Amino acid sequence: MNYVKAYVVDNIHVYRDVYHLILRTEIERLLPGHFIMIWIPEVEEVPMAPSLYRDGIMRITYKVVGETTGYMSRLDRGEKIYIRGPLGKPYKLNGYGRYLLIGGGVGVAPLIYSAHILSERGVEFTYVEGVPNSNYEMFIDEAISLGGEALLYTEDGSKGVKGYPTEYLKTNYRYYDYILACGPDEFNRAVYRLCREYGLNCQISFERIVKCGVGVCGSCVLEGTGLLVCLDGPVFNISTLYEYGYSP
Amino acid sequence: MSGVSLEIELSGIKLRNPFILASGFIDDDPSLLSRAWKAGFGALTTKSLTPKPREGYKPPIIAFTKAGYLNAVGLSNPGVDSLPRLLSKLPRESKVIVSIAGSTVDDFRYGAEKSNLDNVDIIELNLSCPHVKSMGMDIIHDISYSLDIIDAVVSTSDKPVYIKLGLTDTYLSLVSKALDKGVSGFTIMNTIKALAIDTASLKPILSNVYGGLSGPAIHPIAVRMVYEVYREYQVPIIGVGGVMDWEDVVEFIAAGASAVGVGSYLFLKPVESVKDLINDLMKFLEDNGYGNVVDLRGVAHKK
Ligand SMILES: Cc1cc2nc3c(=O)[nH]c(=O)nc-3n(C[C@H](O)[C@H](O)[C@H](O)COP(=O)(O)OP(=O)(O)OC[C@H]3O[C@@H](n4cnc5c(N)ncnc54)[C@H](O)[C@@H]3O)c2cc1C
Ligand SMILES: Cc1cc2nc3c(=O)[nH]c(=O)nc-3n(C[C@H](O)[C@H](O)[C@H](O)COP(=O)(O)O)c2cc1C
Ligand code: FES
Repeated sequence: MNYVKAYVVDNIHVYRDVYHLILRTEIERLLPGHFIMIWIPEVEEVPMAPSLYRDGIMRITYKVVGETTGYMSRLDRGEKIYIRGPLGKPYKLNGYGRYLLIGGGVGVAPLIYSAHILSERGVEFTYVEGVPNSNYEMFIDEAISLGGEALLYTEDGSKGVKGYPTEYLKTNYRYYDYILACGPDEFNRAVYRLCREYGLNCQISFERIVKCGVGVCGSCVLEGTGLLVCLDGPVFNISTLYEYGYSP
Repeated sequence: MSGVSLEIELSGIKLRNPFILASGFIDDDPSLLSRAWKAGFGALTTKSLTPKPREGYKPPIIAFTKAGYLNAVGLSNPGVDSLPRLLSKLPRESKVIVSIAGSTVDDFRYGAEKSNLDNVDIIELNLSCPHVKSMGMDIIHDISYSLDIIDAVVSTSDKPVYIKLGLTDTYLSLVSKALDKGVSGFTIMNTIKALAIDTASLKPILSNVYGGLSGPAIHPIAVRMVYEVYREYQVPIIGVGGVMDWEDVVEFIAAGASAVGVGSYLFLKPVESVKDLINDLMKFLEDNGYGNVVDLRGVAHKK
């Protein structure tokens, strides 16, 4: 699996430490939930799950947390980076049923890409985004423009509904056939517990430290399960998680 | 199921089949080892363990080339003190080879002491990692230093001790001297120092620049070394290097290997895919009238 060039078309500052990196590149069919490794020679290689990929244009929505993402935030138009992928297992999306897309933080990246695909297929979906406060709102407008229902949950109640997006799941789960989730670990654990309790068909995307990205180094193991985020995931159906003894 | 037996013995230890998870592949976490055991391996080798935990190198740690793979993981490992935890999820009947690495005689002695656990079957000394300075090929190129390490480990441990060989011009001489020191067997072979340059960026891919070459490219070299060691000494050998299908397995065993290590085969494949190798070997034995995998060992040497 070799690298392909990706040219920076734009690097858009969204808020505080979050950016959209828009890349022009040519890689194979990359679906929502798939990830790529972004390689910046002499810096490092990091995993990212694009928030959109179509017609050779890829959008990476990323948060600056350290060296490589810091370097990414300083990339200018026309600069080149290198990527390999798609890697891992994507979300399984059907052409029917009602979908709930629920996430928090930059974890919503693969969810909004899923929303694009569902919208194209004419599938009904609700997009629920959880953020600390109104300044962090990310894809609500985009979800609405795709014809979905969209709800913002803020921790401080500064906009939308006050509280965590899991509150929405608790009261509305009966309306949905499929749940797609992605967020910080604590959020993922909560979604897992609720969906198990309600017997829902739910897929959750996880993050771990990905080093090889191809299932050999063991760095990305989901503790206690023997499942590899880079190979068996990053998207897991909760029935698989249960079968492998995931216990949040 | 057929009547063909895949059971083998390595230094008195019975394995349900000759397939061994090679060191460095999804083997530094209890749940990964447990999954690999359930997948059907005859034995599992741990990641090479050092006295202290090691972080390893930054990604990229892997490069894909036409004839194989390069890795420079940098011997990242949780440290040999973690061994009881590492093995905690394995059932009693599982078979475990602990790989030890280090940069001094004392490091190896310490590793051997810590491996003195009931559920450890064999100790493998990694004297041949090609991409960490002072922790690998530097050792095996220096036969007298290697022998000091072997002495220290053999006198510390009651377990069978295996040496993991790398490609050197002098390996047969090391094998002979190691046997005199009480070594029980050999794991042949480790990766070979190599380099890959990305043609998009025109930069070395690995953060460490150099890495170890594994996969199909090294298989014929490993077969040669297995063949020569078996021809001279008929000792237990674990053939490792470029096992990608049943033919590679059959080749190793016919050359004299008692068991076969599976490593690069697992790139982009779940560990359960070892079942294909097991079934294909079984079928080969059946089709060729072997009742027992042991009867295939070394047949390439028969006149
Ligand atoms: C499948 C997958 C998809 C991801 N998608 C996105 C995304 O769309 N947007 C986004 O902002 N982030 C995403 N991440 C997280 C992102 O990879 C890390 O934030 C990033 O690696 C941090 O690198 P750094 O060098 O800036 O940070 P540092 O903290 O300096 O990183 C040090 C090391 O830790 C690793 N690392 C640190 N945090 C993480 C983490 N959370 N996950 C994986 N590796 C980590 C880095 O790769 C690096 O090797 C994803 C992670 C995974 C596993
Ligand atoms: C990612 C990776 C990590 C490895 N780590 C170790 C290690 O820690 N100790 C060791 O003795 N060999 C290590 N090796 C070498 C393998 O055990 C094996 O000897 C080599 O890869 C050749 O077998 P293969 O072609 O089937 O992969 C590693 C190889 C790879 C590819
Ligand atoms: S990152 Fe190496 S196994 Fe997943």
